[in-house]
Amino acid sequence: MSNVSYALNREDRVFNEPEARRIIDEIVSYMSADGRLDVQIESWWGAGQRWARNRASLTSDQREISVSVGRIVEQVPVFALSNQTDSESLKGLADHSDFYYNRWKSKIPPDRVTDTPRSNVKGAEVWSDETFNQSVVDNASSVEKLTRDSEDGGLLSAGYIETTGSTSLKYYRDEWGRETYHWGRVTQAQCSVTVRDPKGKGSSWAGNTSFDIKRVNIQEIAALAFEKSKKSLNPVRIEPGRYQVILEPQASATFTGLFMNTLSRVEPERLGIGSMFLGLDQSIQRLRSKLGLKVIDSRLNIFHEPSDPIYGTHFAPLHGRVDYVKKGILSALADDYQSHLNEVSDIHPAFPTTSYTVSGGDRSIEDMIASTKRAVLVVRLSQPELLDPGSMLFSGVTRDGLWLIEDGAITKSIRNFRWTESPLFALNNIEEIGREVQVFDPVTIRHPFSEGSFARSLNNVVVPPLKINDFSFTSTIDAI
Amino acid sequence: MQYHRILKALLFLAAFIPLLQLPAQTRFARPDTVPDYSSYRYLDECMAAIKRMKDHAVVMAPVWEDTVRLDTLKLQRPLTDEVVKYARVCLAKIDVDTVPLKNAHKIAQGLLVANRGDDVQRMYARLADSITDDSNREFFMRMLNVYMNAVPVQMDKVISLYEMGLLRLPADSVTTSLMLRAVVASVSARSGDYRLANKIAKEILSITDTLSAKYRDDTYNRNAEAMIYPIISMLMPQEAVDSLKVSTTAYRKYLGGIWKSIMGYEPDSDSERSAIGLKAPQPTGHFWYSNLGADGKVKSIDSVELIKKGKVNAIYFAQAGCHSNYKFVVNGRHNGNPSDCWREIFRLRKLQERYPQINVILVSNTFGSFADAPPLEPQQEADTLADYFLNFHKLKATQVVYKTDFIRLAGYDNRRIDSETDNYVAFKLGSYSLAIYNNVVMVDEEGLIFHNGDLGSMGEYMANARIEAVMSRQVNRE
Amino acid sequence: MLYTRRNILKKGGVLGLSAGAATSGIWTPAESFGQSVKPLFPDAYPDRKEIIQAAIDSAITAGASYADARLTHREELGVGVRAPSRTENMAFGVRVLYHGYWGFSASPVWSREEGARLGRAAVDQAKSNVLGREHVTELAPIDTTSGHWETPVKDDPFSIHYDELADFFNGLRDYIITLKFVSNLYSSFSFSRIHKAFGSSLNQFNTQTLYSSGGVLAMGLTDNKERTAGADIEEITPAGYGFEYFRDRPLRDYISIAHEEALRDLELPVKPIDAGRYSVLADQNGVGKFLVNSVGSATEVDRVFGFESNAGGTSYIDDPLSMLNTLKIGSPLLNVVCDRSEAGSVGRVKWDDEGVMPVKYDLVKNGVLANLQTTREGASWIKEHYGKTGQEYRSSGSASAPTALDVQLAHKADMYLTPGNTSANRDDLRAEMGEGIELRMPTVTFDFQQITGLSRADRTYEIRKGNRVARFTDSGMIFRTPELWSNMVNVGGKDSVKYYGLEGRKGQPEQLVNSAVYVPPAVFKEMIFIDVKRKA
Repeated sequence: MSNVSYALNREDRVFNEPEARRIIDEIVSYMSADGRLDVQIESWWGAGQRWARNRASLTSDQREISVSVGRIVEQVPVFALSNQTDSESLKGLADHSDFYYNRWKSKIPPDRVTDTPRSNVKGAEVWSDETFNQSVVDNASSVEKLTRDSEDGGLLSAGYIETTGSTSLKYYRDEWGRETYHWGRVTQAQCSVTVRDPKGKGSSWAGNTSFDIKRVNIQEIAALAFEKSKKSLNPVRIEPGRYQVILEPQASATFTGLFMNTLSRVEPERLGIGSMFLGLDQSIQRLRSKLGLKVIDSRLNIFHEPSDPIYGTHFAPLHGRVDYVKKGILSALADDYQSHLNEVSDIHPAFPTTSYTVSGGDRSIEDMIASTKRAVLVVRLSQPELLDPGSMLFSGVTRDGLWLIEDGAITKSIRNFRWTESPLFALNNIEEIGREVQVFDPVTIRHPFSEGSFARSLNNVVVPPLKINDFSFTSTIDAI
Repeated sequence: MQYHRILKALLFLAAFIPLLQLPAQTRFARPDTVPDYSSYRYLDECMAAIKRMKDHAVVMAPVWEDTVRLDTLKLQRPLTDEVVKYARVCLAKIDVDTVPLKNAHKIAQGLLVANRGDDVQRMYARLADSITDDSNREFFMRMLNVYMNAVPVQMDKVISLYEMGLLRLPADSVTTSLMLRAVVASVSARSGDYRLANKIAKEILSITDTLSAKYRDDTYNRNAEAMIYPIISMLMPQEAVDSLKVSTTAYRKYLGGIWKSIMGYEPDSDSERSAIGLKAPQPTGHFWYSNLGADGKVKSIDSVELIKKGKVNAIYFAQAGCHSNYKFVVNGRHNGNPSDCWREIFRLRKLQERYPQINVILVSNTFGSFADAPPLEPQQEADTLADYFLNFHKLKATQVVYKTDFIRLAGYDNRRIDSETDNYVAFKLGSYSLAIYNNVVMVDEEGLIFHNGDLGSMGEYMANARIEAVMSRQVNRE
Repeated sequence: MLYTRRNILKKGGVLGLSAGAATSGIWTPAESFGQSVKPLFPDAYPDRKEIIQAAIDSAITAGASYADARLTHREELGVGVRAPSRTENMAFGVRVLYHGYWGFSASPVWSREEGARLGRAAVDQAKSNVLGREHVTELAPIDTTSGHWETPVKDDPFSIHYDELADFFNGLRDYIITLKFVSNLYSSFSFSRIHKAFGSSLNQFNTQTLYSSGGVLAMGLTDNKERTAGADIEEITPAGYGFEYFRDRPLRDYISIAHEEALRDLELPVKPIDAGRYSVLADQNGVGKFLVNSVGSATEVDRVFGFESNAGGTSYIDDPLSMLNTLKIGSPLLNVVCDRSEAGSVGRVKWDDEGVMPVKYDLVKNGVLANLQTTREGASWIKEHYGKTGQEYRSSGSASAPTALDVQLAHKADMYLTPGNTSANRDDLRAEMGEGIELRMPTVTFDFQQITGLSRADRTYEIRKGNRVARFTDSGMIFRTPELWSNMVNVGGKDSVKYYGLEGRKGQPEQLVNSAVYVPPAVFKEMIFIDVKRKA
C-alpha cells in the first residue's frame, strides 16, 4: 500500500521539505497546468500529558497530515482537503478540484501583471530541537513530582503539557504560471496547571507557552499555581463596583487582545465602523481612522517583530517589524496587501494582530502590589463577550483567583466578579505598567477541516501586568 | 447468436470488475449520477438551474463574445438545446391552467425558456382576468419585461402587449405612456428593429412637443423626461445618421432639437449632451509611447499632437489599476467582485479590428502603484503601462501617461491623495469630466467630439452607428 | 395571514408544484425517513477488523490490560454556488490501559503495520506514568455486541449530483431575496458522513456510518424607514439526516413564518430596558441553550470530578455521591431525559466510542439530579450510586470524540426537557404570562462552573397583555442556574417541542462534538434583567 511509504515513523514524525515537495509535485502533475492553484502540505505531531486529581489521566501521541488543494471557480475559492498521501488519494484530490475548475474556467486568457518583487525580510525560525525531542518520560516525571507536591499540600492538581512540531510547505501558482514554494516549521511547548481545593473552596491557575520548552518551566508553573491556590481559599464576597485592579499578565493579555482585534483598516477606513473609526474627513472626502492619534496610554508600545522567535512568528508577515502603537499613538492597522498599496506609501500590511508585544514598564508585580493602597488582583479574565463595537465594551468573568490588596499587601481572597469594561477606556486609565512576559496562548487548531492551519496560527503574546484605575465589576458570581 | 450471448455475459462481468477492484477507501469519488430534474419541486430551483446552464454557456463561449458579457446580440440567438430541454423537464409539472398566479411572471420566464410561449399566453390571460384595473399598469410593464428579457427576445409579443397596454392605459397617464414607449424603443433598437425604434421615438417627440408648462413643472414628470432623453439620443434614426453624415455640428443641432422637444427648453450649454460637437482638447502628459512604426515595436517618442486632423480618433482613457480591481482572492478570502474593467480593453481591440483606420490614443496616468507590486517610480510605471497596453494587448496606438501629482496626508495616516491631471481638467467639457476610465471619446476629422461613453453593450452599438456615419462622410468626400 | 400549524398542514408546497411529494405538516425530527433503506456501507472497508485487531494484539502483547482501537473516515461537503468544498479525513486511534494509566496514540495511516506501531506506542505512553504509584482504573461492564449500523437516510448527499444540490440551495436563496424588505441573506449548508469502526480487547467490533446535515440560514430586513429586523430559520440546525433534511421539508413555509415575524418586528418601537425583575418567556432555542450549557455541561462526569478543571472548568455539582437523588436542580417541572436513539437526532448512534449502546435515562427527575452522563471509567466513579439505587452499573454511553485522532471524552447526550401536559404553545405561554419579557434566539454564556449566566438576545420583546409591544435594546438577563430552573413556572406542551443541534466544546486539546436538544418554550418568573452596557 503506497500509504505506508509515507507512514510517519517515530524518527520521522513530520514531513521534511523534500518529502513534502514530492507530494506537492505529484499532486501538481495530476492537475491541468493552467489557472491559479494553491497546494499546501502540513504535518503535525503532538505529545500530550494530561493529569487531574493528582494523577496522570492520559498520555498521548498524535500525528496528523493535511493536504489541501485550492482552485478558483467563478471567482470563489474552492478547497479540497484530505489527510492521505497515497497516489490514489492525491489523484482524487486533484481530480475533485480540477473537475469544477475546468468546467467553469473562463475562456478569456488571464490578464498579465508585472513581476511582483517581495520583501526579503525573513522571519526567525520558530523551532526548537529540545521541544521536538522532549521525552514523554520527562513529562511524566514532571507530572509525578508536581502532583505529589499538591497531594502533600492537600490540594488537587490538574493540567496539561504538550509539545508539538509541525511543518508546512505551501505551493502557489498564479494565473500567469509563476510558482512559489514556502517552507516553514514550528514547534510549540505549552503547560498549564489548575490547582483546586478538594472541596472547591479555592482555585488558581498558571501557564505558559513558547516555541522553546526551556522557556516553559513546568515545576515553576506548578508551584505558582499551587501557591496561588492556597492563597485563594475561602474567598469572601465584596461589593461589586469600581476598583483599581492589577491585571496579572494572563488577564492583561486577554484584555489587550480585545483591543488588538479591532486594529484593522477595513472597518474604519472602508466601512466607517468600529472603535478605530474617527469620522468622515470632509476636506478629502475620505473616511478616516484614528491612525496618528493617541488611542491608549502614552507609555504603551505595541509591536510585532518577526525577526525574533520570542516576539514574532515565522509565518507572520514577511515585511519586517510592525509598530501598531507607538507611545500610545495608533501607528499601523492590519490590512491586506492589495488595498494597502493603493493608499499608503510604506509596505507594511500588518497581519496578524494575534501575535504582538506590549511594552512600557519594568516593575515587578510584587512592586506593583507593594505600592497599592487598595486594589483587586486578577489572574485571568474569562469569556469576554462584545456588547458594543463602537465603544469596545465587553463583559466577562474573572477566574482562577481574585484577591483584595490593601495597603501594599494581599489581605484576602475574594469571590469572582462579572466585569463590564472597555479596553479603550481602561488602557487610557493606567496607573502602572509592569515588565512584559510571554503568556499562555497556545494554538488550538488540530483538525484543519476548513481553512485552519497548524503552523500559521502560532501566536506569540508578550504583555506586562497592568495596574488600571476604576475597573468596572458589575456583579459577583458564584463560581470558584 | 451464441457470440452475442458470450459478449453479453462478458459485459455483465465487466460491469462488476470495477466494483471488485474498488479500493477499500472511497476518496473524493464524485457521485456517478446525473441531476434528477424531474425531482425539482420549486420554480426557484428550476430557474437556478437554467441560470447555471446559461452561465455555463457564457463561460464556454469564444473570446470575443466573452469579453462582452451582456452582448445584446446574444438576445437574438436561441438558447442551447440543453437549456431548453432541461427547462422542459423541470417545468413539466407546471399546468398553466391551475398554477397559482402569485408567481406568474417568474413562471413565465421559465416557460419561455422551455419554448412554451402559448402556455405563457394562456397563463397571462388568466392573470388578466383576475386583476382589477388598478394594477393594469404594473401588469403590463412586468409582462413586457418578461418578454423583453426572454432569450431570444420576443419582439412580436412585446409589440402586441405594448399596443394593448397603450390602449388600456388611462388617458391621464402621460408619463407612464412615455416611459412605456421609451422602454420599447430601446429594446427595439437593441434587437435591431431600428425602424420601430425610430417610429416610437417620433411618437414620443410628438407627445413631448405638446406638453404644457404646468405638466413639466412637476418633479416626477421632469425626472421621467430626463430619463427619456438619453434613450432617445442613443437611437440613431435616419435623421440622426443623416445629420452626422453632414457634419458633427449638424448632429449637435439635431440633438439640441430632441432635447428641446423632450425637456421643453433649449439645451443648457453646460449639459453633458453639449460635449458632442465641441472641440476636443489635445491630451497631454509626461511619458509618450508608440508602436505605429514600421517594425511594430513599442518605443518612447517625443510629445506629439495626439488627435490627428483628417482622421477619426478614439481617445481611450485607460486605467492602470485594472489589475488591482481584477483581484479576487487575497489571503484565501473572496475579496470583492472582480471588475470587468480589463474586459473593456478587449472591446477596444474589437473596435480597432473592425475599424483599423481609426487613430487610437491611449491616455493614462500614474497611480503610485501597479497591480500587486510595490510602488514603482513614475517612469517605471509608465513603461509598464505602455508594455501592458501596446505589447500585451497588441493595441496599435500612441500612448501618453501623465505623471499624477499627489499629496500625502500628514501623520501616520500617510495616505496618498491624487490631484486631478491636466487631461481630467481639460476634458471637463460639460458639467462633469469625459475623462472617465474605460470611456472612449470619439473625435472626427475636424477635431470635434461626436461620441462619448463606455464600450459596453449599448455603448458599442451607438459608437459603431456614429463611426459608420462619420466614416461615410469621409468616403463621400473621397 | 397568520401561520398556524393547521394552515401549514393545509397549504403544502408554496407553488403547488409539489404534488405527490410529502411536504405537508410541520416536520419534526421524530418523523423518520427511509427506515427500510438498505445500509450502504456495511462492507465498504473489508480490512477494518484486521487493522483494528493488529493494534489491539500489539497493545496486549506489550502489556496492556485493556485496549480499544477506532478507525474514522470523515467526509464533509460544503455547498457552494458552483462547486462543493470537500474534506476527507481518515484517522486511527488506539487507547490502552497499562497498570491503570491511559495511553493514546493516533495517526492518519490505516494499515496493520501502523496498527501494530500505534498499539505499542500507546502502551509506551501509558508506561511512562508508572513511576512507583500504582493506580487502579475500573471500567464499568459492557455487553459485547457487534454489528453494523447506519443513520437511515433517504438521500445520501454524497451520491447526489452536485448540480442538483447547487440548484436546490441557489433556488432557495433566490426565493428569499425576493421577499419583502429582505436586504441581506446569510446562508451556509453542509453535509457530513463519518464511517466508524470500533474494536476492543473485550472482543467487541462494530461499524457505523453516521450522517449529519445542517447549516445556517438567516435574513436581515431593512424597511423603507431604515428600520431593521432579523430572522433566523431555526428549523435548519445540525441533524442526523441526508439531503431529505432540506428537500423533503417545507422550508419555504418556515421561511415565511420567520419572515412574517420579522416584518412585525419592524413595526415595534425600540427602547432601553429598566433594570429589574421580570417574568420571562424563553423560546425553545433559549431553553435549549440554557439546558445544555448549564445542566448539560454540569453533569458530564469528568467535569464533575475535576478532570476538566484545567480546561473548560468544573461543575457546581461538586459532591456527586451525596448530591445524586438529593440535589434540587430546579422546579418539579424540570424533567430531563438523555437518549441517543431518536431518529434524526445529530447525536444518534447505536454504539458510543467505547462500544457501549447508550441507554435512555433520567438526568433530572422532578427537579432532582438523578444521574450523570458517563463513560465506562466515569461510571465506576459513581458505582456506589448505582448500588444504592439499584440502577444498573454501566456507562450511559456518552463517550465520543470528533474523530479517531482524538481520545474519547464524556460528551453530551441528546437531551429532552419533558413538556407539560397541556397543549400550550409559545403564543399560549405568552398570553398566560401577560406581562414580562420574551427572549427569541438568545445567546447565553455561563461561568466555568455553569452556576451563573448571562443571556442576551437581539430580539428581546416587552410583553404587555400577552402581546409583543416593543423591542428592548442592550438588555441582558443575569441569573444563577439553580434560581433559573427553580423559577421555571410553565412549560409548553408536547406540540411545542422543538429540536436543535448544538455545538459542544471540551477537553484539552479541545474537541468539538454536536449534540441535540428537544425542548418546549418555558416561562421563568422574577428573572433579573439589566442594561448590559451600564458599568458599575
